[in-house]
Amino acid sequence: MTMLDLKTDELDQPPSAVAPNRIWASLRSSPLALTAIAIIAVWTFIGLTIDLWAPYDPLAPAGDRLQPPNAQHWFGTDTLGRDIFTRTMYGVRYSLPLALIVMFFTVLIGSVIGMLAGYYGGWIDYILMRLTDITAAFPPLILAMCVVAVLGPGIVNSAIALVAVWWPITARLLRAEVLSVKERDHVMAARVNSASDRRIMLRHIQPLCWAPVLVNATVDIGIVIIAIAGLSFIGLGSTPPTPEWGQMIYEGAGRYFNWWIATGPGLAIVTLALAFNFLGDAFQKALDPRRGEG
Amino acid sequence: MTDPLLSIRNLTVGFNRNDRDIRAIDDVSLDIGSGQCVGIIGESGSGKSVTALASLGLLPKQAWFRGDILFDGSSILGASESQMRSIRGRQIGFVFQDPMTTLHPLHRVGDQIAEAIRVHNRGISKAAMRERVISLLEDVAVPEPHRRIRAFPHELSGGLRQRICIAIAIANRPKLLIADEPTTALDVTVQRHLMETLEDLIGRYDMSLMLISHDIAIVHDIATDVHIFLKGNVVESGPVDRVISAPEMPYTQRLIAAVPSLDPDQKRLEGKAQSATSDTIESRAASVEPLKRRSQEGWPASAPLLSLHRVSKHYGNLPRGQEDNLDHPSFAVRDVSFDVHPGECHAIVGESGCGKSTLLKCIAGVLPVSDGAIRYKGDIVGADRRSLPPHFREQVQMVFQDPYSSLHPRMRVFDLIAEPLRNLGYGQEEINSRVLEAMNYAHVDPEARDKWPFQFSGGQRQRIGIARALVTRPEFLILDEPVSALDVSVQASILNQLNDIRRLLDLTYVFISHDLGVVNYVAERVSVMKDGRIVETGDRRDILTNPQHPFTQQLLEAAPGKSFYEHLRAGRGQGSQEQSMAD
Repeated sequence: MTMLDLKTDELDQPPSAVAPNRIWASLRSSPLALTAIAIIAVWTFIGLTIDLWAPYDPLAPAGDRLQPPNAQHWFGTDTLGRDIFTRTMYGVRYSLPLALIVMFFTVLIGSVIGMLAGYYGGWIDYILMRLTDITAAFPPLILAMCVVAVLGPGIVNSAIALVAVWWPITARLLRAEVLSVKERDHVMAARVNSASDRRIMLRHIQPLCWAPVLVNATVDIGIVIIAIAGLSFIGLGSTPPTPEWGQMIYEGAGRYFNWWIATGPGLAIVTLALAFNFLGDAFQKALDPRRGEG
Repeated sequence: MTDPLLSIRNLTVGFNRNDRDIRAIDDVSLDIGSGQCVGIIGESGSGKSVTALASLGLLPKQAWFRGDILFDGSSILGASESQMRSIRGRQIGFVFQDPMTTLHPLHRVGDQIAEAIRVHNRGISKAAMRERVISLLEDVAVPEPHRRIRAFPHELSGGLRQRICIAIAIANRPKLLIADEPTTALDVTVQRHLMETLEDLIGRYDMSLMLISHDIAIVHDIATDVHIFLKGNVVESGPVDRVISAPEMPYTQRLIAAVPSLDPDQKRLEGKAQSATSDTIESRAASVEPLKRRSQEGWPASAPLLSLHRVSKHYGNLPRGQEDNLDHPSFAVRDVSFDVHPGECHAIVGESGCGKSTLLKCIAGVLPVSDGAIRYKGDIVGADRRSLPPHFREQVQMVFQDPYSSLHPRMRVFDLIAEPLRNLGYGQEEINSRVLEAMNYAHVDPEARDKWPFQFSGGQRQRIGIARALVTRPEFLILDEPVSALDVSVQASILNQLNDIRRLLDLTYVFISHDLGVVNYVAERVSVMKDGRIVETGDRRDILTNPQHPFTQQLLEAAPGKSFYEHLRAGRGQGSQEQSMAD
């Protein structure tokens, strides 16, 4: 029966081909996706323009210490009297770009490894996949902590550490896609037509493999935002007095009567991470309509 | 005459899609009497499956309909879901096309049959159930039913699985069995036996059968009445013999004329009507630049262009001591030798799993042979760039079976066709003119150059595939079931085109097919392949009229529509007699 519901172009696509206009059409019709995009857009806007309209200096005291939220200080002030609202708004300048950069390199490294393993197979596949298994065998945050411990704390080092532990997922996803796409006849046709291995990988296989990677990477940006905050929270990421969300939460930790110190940055993390989660779900729905509409 | 068992009356089914109203079937009426076997014939998209689904009350929710379907006097389209549930399975059985996916992979087939029985007979005892399942398996001619009852679907062949599906469909002795392309996914020899079983069953249990198929020959062998569907309409109905031998509507005539037969004196097939200016391939070719005859320069016509000498191929590693044991199951190709001479079309016929695809990959130089040698113009064909004969990649091209997966969905038509030249490092001007030339030969509209593959039908896509193969000006084409995924009228026009191209460009073909009718139409020499071995090679006429090997005989015997072709010949004879009388 589903046969009847499919247009020819849907029948004809390998499941993970990414068609930008179709994705956009699907995203537009989903309120959740639009909300997610709006949240991400607002945070991006804040990050880009905060210098122009920040009510206070994020690094200098703006009034009395430990004020609860009030008309002057919407999110209250911290132990040094700095405005938490201002610091939270500045915080997106660290978390968002850092998460995007981490994801970019994660996808880059993971997809190169997955592509080579999937395309060549044999011992190359074996070695690369065992390497992937070993990396994936450790809990990512714990492994990232070890890497930072070796490199030394700092916001850049924490990003490097996250890339080093995050790539196996992409590698596995891409390898699985490559394995199925490379059996298509058009890849065989390319081989018969003496396309080089590089050309087959880049031109004939790669464009058809992105759907699961895209979905996963989008959801993972949210998780990486949390991980960056987590590393800062335990003192392995940014150093004081940087207005970084994880670190701000640490400053509020244990101060149960000054609940507002952790609340502002906490809300920030929640909104941004959730937005990426929703966006990932929406991508999933857009890329695989049959699985999406449950 | 008594009331018909199933009566479809002025049924129209439509779908709303993006505010457009698409009619799947339009004002269709047909009757199926008790114990009658009615065939529904149509090409893809003609609405035949929708008719079947409607008869089961299984139209998708988005569909709207007008008209009615009466089963045993009561309306199906008006019935409630619970009423339908008691009709479906008990009164009307259904067999789907693909036996690979219709069975639950994790349940034993015996349990799956038992479940169909239990739905309509609660509280049946275990022993009685077992007895009924076994007798059902016997009905559908599954060998060793006591053992098979415990088998999982993956342990059974496609033919046996389809028999299980039929057993489930007839488990409650329905009055009507609807079979939607029940044998399309199966090999001809299997198909033959399955149809015999089906015929036997409806006779024994006095069932009616609605047989949906794209294959006139199969329907002719079993049905009494036939309805021809075209774009949602019934264009012709009547007793099958009359419709086949004296079709009244032009579409039916074309459809019948498009079927390649086993007649060794097969005339040119009637393909789907070409564009309004039905210009011949010669005039099209003339409109391009004058072509250099690219025929086998410097290669004598008497020497084989392609020569296979004792070629074997196995996958994986063989156990020690088994290296030369050709009977080991790892071998896909076993000791195959044949020659292909310039200008000839050599067909390789075999059923699924016979090793023909593996052989093809070896010939195309993408898979190394395990033993023996493939030579092209006397040079060994290896499996990588370094060990191929000079210009092999330009001179040898391939056309694939599946017009969907063989084209990169994210490349435009022009780029798809130009891709081989880009790999070979040609300049842009040369590429432009060669692509245009190839599009002309392959009947791809030059206007299509910037379109995407999904904008084309299967036949048009296959033409793009052919253009891609012609763009390097090859001498040798490897054709892997190029028409088996296409409707019969499209198939005929592609076959005609392939024949024309071969003649015009002096090409040599290796043509893989499972369909002897198609092979008869295109090939001069035929090799019959079974279990990785070539069991018989010979001229087309000899193979068809005087097959030596038992498997070839079996294959010819099983080819559907024996009576169809006899009828057809008789009909044509009559036609020409009438004509001579008119003269």
